[in-house]
Amino acid sequence: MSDLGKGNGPELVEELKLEEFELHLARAMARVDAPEGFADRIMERSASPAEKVVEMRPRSRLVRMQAWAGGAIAAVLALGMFGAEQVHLHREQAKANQQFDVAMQATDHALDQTRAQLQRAGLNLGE
Amino acid sequence: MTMEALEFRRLVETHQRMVFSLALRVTGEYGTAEEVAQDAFLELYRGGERLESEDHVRFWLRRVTVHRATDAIRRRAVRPEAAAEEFLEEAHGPEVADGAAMNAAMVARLEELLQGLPEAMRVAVVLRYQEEMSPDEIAKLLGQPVASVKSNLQRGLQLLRRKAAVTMKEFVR
Repeated sequence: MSDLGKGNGPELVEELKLEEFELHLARAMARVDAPEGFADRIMERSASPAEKVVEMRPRSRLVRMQAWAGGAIAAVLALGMFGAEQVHLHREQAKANQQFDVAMQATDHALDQTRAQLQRAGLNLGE
Repeated sequence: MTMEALEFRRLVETHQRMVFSLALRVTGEYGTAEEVAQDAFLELYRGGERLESEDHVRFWLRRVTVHRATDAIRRRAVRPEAAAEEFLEEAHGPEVADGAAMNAAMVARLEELLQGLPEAMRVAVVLRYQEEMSPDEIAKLLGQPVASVKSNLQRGLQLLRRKAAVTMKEFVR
């Protein structure tokens, strides 16, 4: 029954029990030898400069995504800081302008007062 | 830091038959199998420091080889049956001589039939019968539910057996 090379032909194969078939399959699927020089070729490839470059470990998709995400976050932060700095400068400038305007108004007012007092005293300094 | 060259060579020599046989039976093509096997080992070389034991190396090599081999099949986009002839011509010279008790033509025919199985069934059958792994171990290796592995094994085996019953009519005279 187990020897398919001899026997009664197709009926013999058809009557194979599953266990016997599995046994034949397992025997048919014994490991085969690697090609001659297989290990040498791998060692050559492992020593080549190209492989050494790759030795740095290929970056996984996750790592690449993390790098992209890190870059994006850094860019957003930089833009944010730049924007915040610009807003701050703008506010400082507006505040300084406002203070300058107030100071000018105060000075004008004081000058007007002084001019009025001098006029009352009979002195005219001109414009 | 990578593993030392001497240690790497030892691992290649220890596992080359396993890795090459897996690649060959999954891809069905001698040249592709060597390429797949080399890539698997080189991946081991590059990441070797992460592997802790011989069992871990074996598990890792099997998994990477199966994945690389199935990737190669998909890239090739050729029906595996087309490569069966090459497989038989190139892979079985020495093996036939080793298995003196086995009917060489039957081995060749079973290999040919194996190449005709759908990929998932073929991988499960190869791991079960070449590597003598249990369904649980195969499931763990492939990251699949055990039920899927058992189903693939059962269906693959039935399909092989049915094909053998049909195609070997010509062979067994």
